[in-house]
Parts: sequence; structure tokens; C-alpha cells
Amino acid sequence: MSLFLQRMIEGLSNGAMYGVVAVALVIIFKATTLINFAQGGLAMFGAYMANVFAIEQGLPLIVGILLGAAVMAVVASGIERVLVRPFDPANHLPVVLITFGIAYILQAVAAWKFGTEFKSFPSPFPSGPNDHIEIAGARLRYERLGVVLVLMIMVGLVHLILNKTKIGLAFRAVSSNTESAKLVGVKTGRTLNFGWALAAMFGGVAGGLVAHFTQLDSGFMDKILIFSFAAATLGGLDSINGAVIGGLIIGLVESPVQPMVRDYVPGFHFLTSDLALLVAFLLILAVLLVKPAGLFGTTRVERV
Amino acid sequence: MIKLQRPWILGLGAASLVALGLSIIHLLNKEKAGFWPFLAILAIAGLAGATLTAQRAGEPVLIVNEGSRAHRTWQTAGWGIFAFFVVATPYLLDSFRVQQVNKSMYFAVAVLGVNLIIGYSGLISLGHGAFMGVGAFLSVILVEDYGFKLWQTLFVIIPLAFVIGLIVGIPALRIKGLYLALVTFALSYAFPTLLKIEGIDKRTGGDLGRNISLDKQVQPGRLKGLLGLNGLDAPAQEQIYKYWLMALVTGISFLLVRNIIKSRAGRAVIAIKENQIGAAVSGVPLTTYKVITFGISAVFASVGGWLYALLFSEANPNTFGPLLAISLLLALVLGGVYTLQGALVGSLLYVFLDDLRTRVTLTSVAGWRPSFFQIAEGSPLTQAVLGLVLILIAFFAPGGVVFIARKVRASLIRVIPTIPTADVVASAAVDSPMSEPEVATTH
Amino acid sequence: MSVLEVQDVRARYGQIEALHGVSLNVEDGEVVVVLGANGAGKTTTLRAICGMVATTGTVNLHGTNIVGTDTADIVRMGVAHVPQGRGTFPELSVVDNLNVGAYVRKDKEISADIDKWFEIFPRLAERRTQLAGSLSGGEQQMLAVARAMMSRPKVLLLDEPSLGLAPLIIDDLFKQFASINAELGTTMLVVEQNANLALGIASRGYVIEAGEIVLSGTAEELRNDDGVRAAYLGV
Repeated sequence: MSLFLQRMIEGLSNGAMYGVVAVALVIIFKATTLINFAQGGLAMFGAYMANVFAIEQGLPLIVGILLGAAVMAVVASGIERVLVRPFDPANHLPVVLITFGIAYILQAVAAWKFGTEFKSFPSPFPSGPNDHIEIAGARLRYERLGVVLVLMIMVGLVHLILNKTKIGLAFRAVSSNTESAKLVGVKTGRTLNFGWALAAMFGGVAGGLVAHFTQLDSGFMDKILIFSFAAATLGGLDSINGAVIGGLIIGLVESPVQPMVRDYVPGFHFLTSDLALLVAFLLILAVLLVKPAGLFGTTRVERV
Repeated sequence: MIKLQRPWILGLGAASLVALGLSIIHLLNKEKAGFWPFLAILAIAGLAGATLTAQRAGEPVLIVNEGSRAHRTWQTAGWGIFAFFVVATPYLLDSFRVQQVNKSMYFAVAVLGVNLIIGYSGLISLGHGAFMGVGAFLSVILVEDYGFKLWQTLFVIIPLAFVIGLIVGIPALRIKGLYLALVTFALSYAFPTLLKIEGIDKRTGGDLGRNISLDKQVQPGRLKGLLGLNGLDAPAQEQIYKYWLMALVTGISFLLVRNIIKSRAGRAVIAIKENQIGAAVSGVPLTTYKVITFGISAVFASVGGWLYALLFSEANPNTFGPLLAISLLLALVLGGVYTLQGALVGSLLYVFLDDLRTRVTLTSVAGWRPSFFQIAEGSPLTQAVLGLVLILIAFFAPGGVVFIARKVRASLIRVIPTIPTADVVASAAVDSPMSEPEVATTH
Repeated sequence: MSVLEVQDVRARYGQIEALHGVSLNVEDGEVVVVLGANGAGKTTTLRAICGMVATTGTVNLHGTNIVGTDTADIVRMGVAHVPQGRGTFPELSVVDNLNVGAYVRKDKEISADIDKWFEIFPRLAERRTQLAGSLSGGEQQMLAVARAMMSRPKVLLLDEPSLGLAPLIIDDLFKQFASINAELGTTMLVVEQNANLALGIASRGYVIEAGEIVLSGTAEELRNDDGVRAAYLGV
């Protein structure tokens, strides 16, 4: 039981990281119905930037992660302005090509500039062998609890931005009805640009948190991105809360549930943690088959 | 009727084309680049110059009536040149280059599949690498473990790939938007892990992959003389024989896709892309056709994978991941999404450029050494070229090379169609269903 | 002086030209109606004024040519447009729809204005926290008008406000238009098929057919024109 609780927290913290990236995906999808395949690459690069700021320049790690995320927000805003805005968002192929192109370039530059070997990356939270609280015999590590806390702060933050600020209101207006948004004087381009920057900020923070658990290399966000896709699909691609809950559910399925099934259900001994990718894929299939709008998405999903 | 104005423009175009062809052939056969890259650049500039001059003049240089004798002669000549290259290629190039051409062919068959779904129904798939994997691994497993002949495995691969395509396609294709891209992208990541599951890895070889021994099966035998293999060394013999096998399968695949597109159902699928609501109103069962198209496109990818196993005699789970899927997409857009030829042209380009990317450094071209551009051979930065090409295509050549070539041709030569009967108009509309690619509109 | 002066405006969707040189003008504080059948170019005329369709010609707003200006900037210059099909924000609450309507304003009276519009349209007040998408057609039209008025426009463009509404609600709505015009002095350009109603609040009008203005005159003249009577008044 205590082991299960421990794994629950692990699962929740993994899920929190998927959730943060999923929120980033949702922000862009909500406004444009586009999927940013470079979201993982941006997050990866943000983590390397955090590494530069914190480890090489000696800034506090939290500041480093935030700075890294901020740099990626600026980069993403530039990408949106120069590479994405010229295209009609209804024409998907160019944007898919461009986001993949960016992902490749970011990976290549990271591998070239920062090396191809795995780098360890510290946690912004106490992560020594004794940094945990014990509840009912379960060791709940601060580095895990901290991630969940960050998720809660970030979700609170995004709701605050969207619901209490003027740019947030404009963003919701553009997401809801782009043409009418123009008719009330909203500069749609600038607003979407803000969305890209916000999403990259989220991704960057997630990257800085994930790197501690996976180590840093140019492809470390790839898997996370797939889990985030699954999380966002499960929650509904246009629901921020859905993305968070979807992320948590996937984290829980992956960490505590999967080993239990493996250990206690006969015939499932082949389940290993690598298989989580397969589970994520099957989950996306299943959600689209049963409830294409996801758990919390609006039913605007158009069938053809 | 033939009308020729300003023949020097046409001459410049033709000379540039010949120069470009010569430098490509030379670059393929020789290690040292010499002045050939510059000649190639000059040739491209010449073509561009001819095109621009003709465009500025507002009238093509050469105007000819469709079906006139001159037109027919040139068409025949064009096909003759194509046939010559098909036959001569394996004997003109060394075995390494022949292998690259072979590689382009398995690629092209898979790209055809991707084109069928993206180009002709407008939905983006990022999972065709996995479908290739289905073909490659089934052929390995069936030949090695179940004693199949390689050609027999197609009877298992084709229906199975179709069914797998349906399973993946049905959930995503019911919904409009990027959902298919999402699902297939996840598939690309999941597929290699599936093959490495304990238990399944016994069949697939896990991380190491698995070899297939085709030595006895893939032998020219009595065809040796006919194919002119006598007196060649073993690797050349092998590559040339495989070239002919693959050319056969590739040719059949192209013919099949051509017929699919021209069929009634094919036209319906194109109607879906052009006008969803219109197609629905005219009684086209949209989702059914889309799902079937996706199944068929998965079949072509799996046949591409089968050719892969034939060519390399091995299969490794890690080969059939996301990178392959993106490469297929890249090859497709390089060639041209809305054309059939695009699949072949794009695959050839992709395979040769990818080789250049990994083998040749910028500094080794013509021994020119601008220090700013120095990138060590095998540097991870060469990967960035892939990304750069993706972005450049989206911006500057959304129709790929074939589209550019057509534009160049159209500005130099105009073929005046004979007055078409209604019947011909209808089939012509199907001949060029791809209209203009939706070029980016810059605001 | 004319607040809005449209001169020889041509508009095209891709290859197809929808307006073939439309000219009309609206004086300060005036209500002008444009009558026309479906597809005559009424909506396109309004879209051309707002910079939402490829346009050539001149559109003078307070004497400044606004052809080629970004829609958002035209709104900032004092034009509000209630598009056909209402154009509310279905995923936003009623109150947020009004808030976003005041997006271009920087003054402190926004919430006072919201209260004012809730007084004018009490049914919206009852539904202030509901999502706009859940409102009835009439309520959505009220919301669309209130949302447009939240920017305190000098010129209000109304695109077939009566479309799809019950007769009672239409009457009520047009009474509101008349009183908005009378009390706030808002200049209005109304595009309608329902000529009876529209001519009732307008001082002048134009008739558009196949992308061209074919007739213009005072409301009275139009009402008595045989062609208009036959085509739009059902007499």
C-alpha cells in the first residue's frame, strides 16, 4: 500500500509534467486548430537554456528555468510572426512542415551546441536522499510534490491571464470567433502571437522540470510530447482543464497502475515502462473513437 | 501549327537543362566535385533566366498545337528519353549509386501511399513509416519463420496492411482537422516500442533487428544474360537485378495509383478534398471513401516496406519510427504533393540529398573554404538541413519540384489544346485534379 | 459632411467580382438602408467598408480613405459592424461579450455602459453569466447589437438584423435602433431584405442589384417606387 501511494505521487508528478505541455498544445489548438509539433523541441531547448543560465552562469535554478522559458517564449513569438502567420491556418500542411522543420533545427542546434551525451539536470526542489515526508510508510519526495505544486500554480496562472487580463479576453475572443474578434478591434495576429509565447513559456517550464527525471539530451522531450498529445486528446483538445486532468490520468495509468497490472494480472508480464508509448497511442485511438471531443472539450469537433 | 519567337531563350533553357543533367551525372559518378557544382548552379540560373525573360515577354517562346505532328514527335521523344534512362540507369552508375536509386524506389512506393492520403484527400499522415515497418517485418518473419517465398508474403502483407490502416484510420478520419496527423504521429512513436515488447521481440529481433536470407530467392538465374549481368562483380549484379525487380513493382504501383485516381471512387475522394459539403450533397459517402483511401495508402507503404526488406535483407524496429515518416513527407513535398510524378522525383531527390547531407560537408564542395560555413562531417548540425528544407519548401515551393518544372515549361512552351469535346473536358478535369496547390498567401 | 462616403467600390472574392462600382454616402446622424435580394452584394458592401474583403475604390470615413486599412484599425476609428448571423462569441459569457465589445476603449466607464445596455435589453441582464452560445436567436441579436455599441461607435453597420427572428422581436429590435439613433446620434447603415421595417427607421435608402446600385432616394420615394413595392414590399 505504501508503495502504491509512493507510485501514485510519482504518477501524479509525471502526469503534471504531461499536463503542462498539454496545456501548451491546447492554447495553440484552441485559437487556431493547429498542432504545434515543435512544442517538444521548444521545451527541450528551454531546458538547455536553463542549464546555461543556472549551471554555467550560476544563477539560481528557478531563475534559470524561468529565464530559459522566457527565452523560448521570445523565440516562439518570433517563429509565429515570421514562419506561421503568413499561412492560412485552414491550410494545415505548410504549418505541419514548418513546425517539424523547427523541431529538427532546434534538435540539431542543441546537439551541436550542447553535445550529444546525456547531461544530468538538478531539480529546483530538495532532492537529496532524505528530502521526503513519510505518510503511512510511503516516502513522498519533495522533488515529486514540487512538480505537482508547479502544475497547480501554472494552471492558476493561465486561468488568471485568460480571465482577468485584457489580452486574455482578446485571446478568448479570437479562439471563439476570429472574424468577430477583428470586428471588435482585436488585433488577431498579435493575440495569436501572445498565445504562442504563452504556450512556449509553459513548455519551457515543463522542460526544466522534466529534465531532472529524464536527463538532458536533444530528444528528451519526444516521449513527453506524445504523452501530452494523449493527455490533450483525452481531456479535449480545446480544454485547458481537460489537458491537465488528462495529463494526471495518463501519469497515474503509467506509473502506479501499469506495474500493478503487470505484477498481479496473469498474462501481462510483458508490460514494461517503454510500452507506455503504445498505451498512449491506443488511448488516443480509443478517445477519438468513443468521444472525439474528449472528456472536457466542447462538442465543436466537426464530423465529416 | 508551330510558332517560335526569340529562339535564343529556348536555346538557353535547353542548354541549361543539358548542362544541369551533365553536372548531375558527373557529380553522381565522381568523388571530386571540381567545377561541376558551379556549372549546375549556372544551369539553374540559366533556366531561371530563360523563364523570367519569357514571363516578362508575356508570351511563351514556343507555341504548338496539341496533337500536331511536332507535338506528337516531341512527346514520343520525351517518353523515349525517359525509357532510355529507366533502362540505362543501372548500367551507367556504380553499384553504390544503383543502390541509392533502388532506395529511391522503395521510398517512392511508400510516398505514393502518403500522397494518396495527403495530396488527394487533404489529410496529413505522419504514420506511414509504421506501415512500411509492417511490410518489412512481415516479409522477414514469414520468410524466416514460416518458410514463405518472398513474393508469397505479399498475399499476407497487403490485406493485413489494409486492415491495420482501417483500424488506425477509422477513429481519426471521422473528424475534420489535424486529428489524423496526431494519431499517426503517436503511431510512429508507438510502433517501434510495440515491436520490442518481450515476446514479440523474439520475432522482430528487438533492438538489434533481424536479417532475412534472400540469397537463394533473389537470383537472376536464366535472366543473367538478358539483363547484361555477365562479367559484372557480385555487388553490381545484385544491385542491378534488384533494380529491375524494384522497377517492376514501382511501375505497377504507379499504374495502380493512376487508375485509382481516375476511377469513379478516386474522383469522389478528390471531390472530398475540393469541396466537402458539395461532395456530401452529391451523395458521396465521405468517411467511407476516406477510410478506404487511407487503407489503400497504408498498403502502398507496406509494399514499400516489403521492397525495403528485399533491398537490404534486414529490418530493424528503430528504422520505422517518426524520422522515417517525416522523411516520407519531406520526399513528397520535395517532389510535389499534388502530382503523381512528385512521388518518384521527390524520393530520388530526398535520397540523394540526404546522402549529400551526411557525407559531404559544405567545405568539401569545390575545395572552397569559407570558415564561417565550416561544419565537420557527420556533425549533428547537418540534421538542421532537413528542417531548413521543410521550411523552405513550405514558403517557396509549396508544389514541390514538379510544380516548379511545370511552371518553367509553361512559361517557355504553350501547347494549344484542340477544341475539346465535353467528354474530353470531363476526363481532363480528372487528369489534373490537383488544381493549384494552395500557395501561401502572405498578408 | 458625409460621415461615410463610398465611391466606386469594387470587391472581389478570389476571381469573382461581387461589387462592380458601388457608391453611396451616409450623413452624420442619419439612418440609411440598403435594400437588395440575396446575393445582390449587400453583405459584401458592409464587408468592403470594414476591410474584410479585397476592395478597390474609395471608402471615406470622416474624410479619410480607409480602403486597405486593417479591420481592427477601422473599428478603432469608430465603426462597429453587426455581421450577418450575429457574430457573437459563443464560448464567452454575455458579460464578457460586452467587455470584449469595449476592447478598443481605454476609459473607465465600461462597466457603467454594460449596466446601461443591460437596462435597455433586460433579457441579457438575466443571462449575464450564461455563455452566449446558449442564448436564443433574438437574445443573440440583442447581444450582438449591444456588443457593437459597447465600442461607442460613430457609425453602426447592421447586416440583416431581422434575419431568422420572430416578428415581435424584430419590431422591438427596430424600435431600439430608432431610439439608439435618436438618443446617441449614432449614424447607421442598415442592410435589409425586410424593406418595410428598414424604411420605417431610415431617412434614405439605396437598392442594390447584382453588385450595382440601381436606385436611390428618400425613404418616402423608395416606398412609393413601383419596382421597390413589387420586389421588396410585396405589394
